[in-house]
Amino acid sequence: MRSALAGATVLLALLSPLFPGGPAAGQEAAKKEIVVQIRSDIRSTEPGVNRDAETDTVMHHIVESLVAFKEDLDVAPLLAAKVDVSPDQRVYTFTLRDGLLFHNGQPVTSADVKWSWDRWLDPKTNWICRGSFTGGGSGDEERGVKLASIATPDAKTIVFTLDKPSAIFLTLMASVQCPTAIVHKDSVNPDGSWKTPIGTGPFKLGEWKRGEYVMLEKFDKYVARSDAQDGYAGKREAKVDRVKFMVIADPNAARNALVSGDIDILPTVPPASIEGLRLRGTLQLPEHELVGWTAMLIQTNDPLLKDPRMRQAIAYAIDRTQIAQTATHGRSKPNGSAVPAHTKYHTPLHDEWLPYDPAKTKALLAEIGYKGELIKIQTNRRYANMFDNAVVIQSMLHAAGINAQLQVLDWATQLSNYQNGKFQLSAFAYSARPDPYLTYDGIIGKKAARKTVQWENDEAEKLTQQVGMTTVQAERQKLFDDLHRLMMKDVPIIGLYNGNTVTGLSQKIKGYRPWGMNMPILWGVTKD
Amino acid sequence: MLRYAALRLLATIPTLFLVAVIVFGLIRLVPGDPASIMIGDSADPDMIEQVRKSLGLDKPVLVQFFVWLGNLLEGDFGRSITTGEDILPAMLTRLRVTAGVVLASIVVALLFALPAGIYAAWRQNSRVDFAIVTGVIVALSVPSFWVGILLMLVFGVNLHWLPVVGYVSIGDDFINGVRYLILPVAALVMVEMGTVARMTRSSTIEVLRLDYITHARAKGAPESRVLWKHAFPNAFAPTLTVIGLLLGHMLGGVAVIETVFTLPGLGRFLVDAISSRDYPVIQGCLLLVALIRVMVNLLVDLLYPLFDPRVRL
Repeated sequence: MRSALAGATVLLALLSPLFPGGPAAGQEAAKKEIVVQIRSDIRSTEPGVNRDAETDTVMHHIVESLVAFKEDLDVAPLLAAKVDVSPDQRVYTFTLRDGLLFHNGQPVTSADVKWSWDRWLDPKTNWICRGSFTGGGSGDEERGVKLASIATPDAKTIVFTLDKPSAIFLTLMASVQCPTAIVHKDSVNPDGSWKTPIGTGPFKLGEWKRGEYVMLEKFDKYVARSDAQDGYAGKREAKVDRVKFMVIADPNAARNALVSGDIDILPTVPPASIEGLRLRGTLQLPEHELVGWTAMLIQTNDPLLKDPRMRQAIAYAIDRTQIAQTATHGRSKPNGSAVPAHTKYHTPLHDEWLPYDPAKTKALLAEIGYKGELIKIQTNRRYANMFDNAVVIQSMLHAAGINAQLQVLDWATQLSNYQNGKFQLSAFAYSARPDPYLTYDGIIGKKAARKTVQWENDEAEKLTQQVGMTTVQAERQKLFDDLHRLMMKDVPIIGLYNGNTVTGLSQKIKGYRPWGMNMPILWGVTKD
Repeated sequence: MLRYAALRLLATIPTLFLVAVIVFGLIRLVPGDPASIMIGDSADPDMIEQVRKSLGLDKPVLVQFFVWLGNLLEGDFGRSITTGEDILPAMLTRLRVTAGVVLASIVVALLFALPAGIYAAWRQNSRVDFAIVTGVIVALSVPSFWVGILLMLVFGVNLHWLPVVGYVSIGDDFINGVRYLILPVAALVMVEMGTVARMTRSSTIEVLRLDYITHARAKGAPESRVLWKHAFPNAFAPTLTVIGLLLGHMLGGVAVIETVFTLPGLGRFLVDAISSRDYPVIQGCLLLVALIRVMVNLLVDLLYPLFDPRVRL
């Protein structure tokens, strides 16, 4: 008996290092770092070149641009102390803030800004937003702006001159998907290829363990702005030593990791887990409205769907309120407009859309002479909301007398079909565009030149161009209103909702501010 | 035996070539390419073309194939399109993770499944046999990812004994490495135990019915000697084949378990590559998986005569 007890004691002693007492273990080390979930590994450390949403999230902590978006999605200076715009909106003069330093300790000068911009605009860099600053677009299309010159009259001043006036230059410059990052020359190898980001952000790149995590270290010499933290703009002060972006692909595993304390922040809690977590009462679960737009795309070149009456019939058959409620577990209302709900340009007019009225669908189908021709709805399993939307819409269309069938693809295939216009209906979601102009610009145009265009309408095209020429809020509002009225008539796309997200935070986290772009911000955040 | 092994190794060359051709062709038949995924929904056709060109995807497929094959013959698997990683070291790093989990789980499974299978056969139709067979059926019926989630909830979320996500290499930190491996290994052990115990039981039952076993018992040999000295070696040969198949299959990646426990293994590497249409990684991983299968099969064939002397190579 005594020997058995002694054996058990030895065994427990041997195993004890394996069970060091749960999350309390390593608390000292955990105090210094915040662990945040990302759904997939970052693709590279070169902003705007080889990127996806997770890459953007991480890189915005390391690199900075002259300007950035605020929480209300207006643009504000970031590296720039001020921006002067010429009355004709052709010349933009930026003055750099005092004391700016790169992560290698070198001061930031206007020459660095010009060097960075020249590199992004070099076709060899493959910067995905190059076209936005070189009058890009395809064929005869002219999109974005065209930079005529970048001058550096002194070490703190940079002057960008456009070939013609534009009201969207600053919006494009603040792009989230391709940061117009100001980086040090040593970020690239002698042959011009990318080496590592030496930026100006509040965090610098620590360790990137591929497939596992990206560790960022606090940049001690960071000079923060004095104005309040506001989205990607304002004061960016790192309040922890390290931020670890941990790759957890499975949403349930991520939820469990949050509950067990393995991670501190789960940026998007799976909708089905929200109530369960709320009942536990051990987490903070702030909710916020999103800017991304979930929609049902309609191929207006399709022989059946090119008739606006057929598209209207589909629109009348869809109960968007039910879809928005189902997809967001009752947390969102529908939005048929390309202007995001809860933003300043979303007036009551933008809440209007073709009402749910299956009787009208039937009347229109009879008028067209619809004989039950098959309509396929493309969707995927990767994004649960797109799949759910497609399933519900299919049944609604069936109920209204439209023969719809689901076509479940993998996301890469559906995305490729979207880019090539190969679909009839497609359950889709646009990533967040901070300015409604960018959404309209993305969906309006000539399909022959750009197959991702959803709406070919000369008047809409003209209105969009006009939006790009004015910064006056009242004028822009009128133009957005006109665009929405036109869209309700044409029904080139059926907007469903913008959605909202619930973020899961450990009780120890303080100062985390979710925002409409749904990209976690870790400066200004502390951990008790 | 050496000649046999050499011939088998030579035979892998056409096998791998065929795998290379099929994998290369099939993945390109699937719509969507890395450039379009990289650009996303803000697609500008000119930009997609430019990226496609920079990745060499604008060249004719045959040219792409022969360039890839030529590099492969020089031992160069290329670079990942999505991350720019050198593929061979990336695959080997991830294979180490997968191999750690799989080998540990197979060893643990064998420790339990072999005695259980033999005991069940020895006591065929008894209550213990019934209990073991029931356990085997349950183990085979329950998906490993479900077991994984359950273990995670109990030991990670509720008891806080073990971490639920992440990975630490045993080489870097042994104690922590083991802590991170316990749950995924436990999840895999269930399925492996079921497979091995079932095969061990049925082959032992067959062997126990043979005349030489009756002869051994007639000689007065104790039951333990009959079982372990006479029955086990012959009964183990078919089990060895099953273990080989299991090992070959699992070393190719246990993607679901790797996803559930966030292990940076080969299976997750391959699945991620398929999602992002990372052609060179998909091709490299599948070639490696094919090579692993061939090598494991060869190893099993070479080990077979040790257990069944009737087999001559």
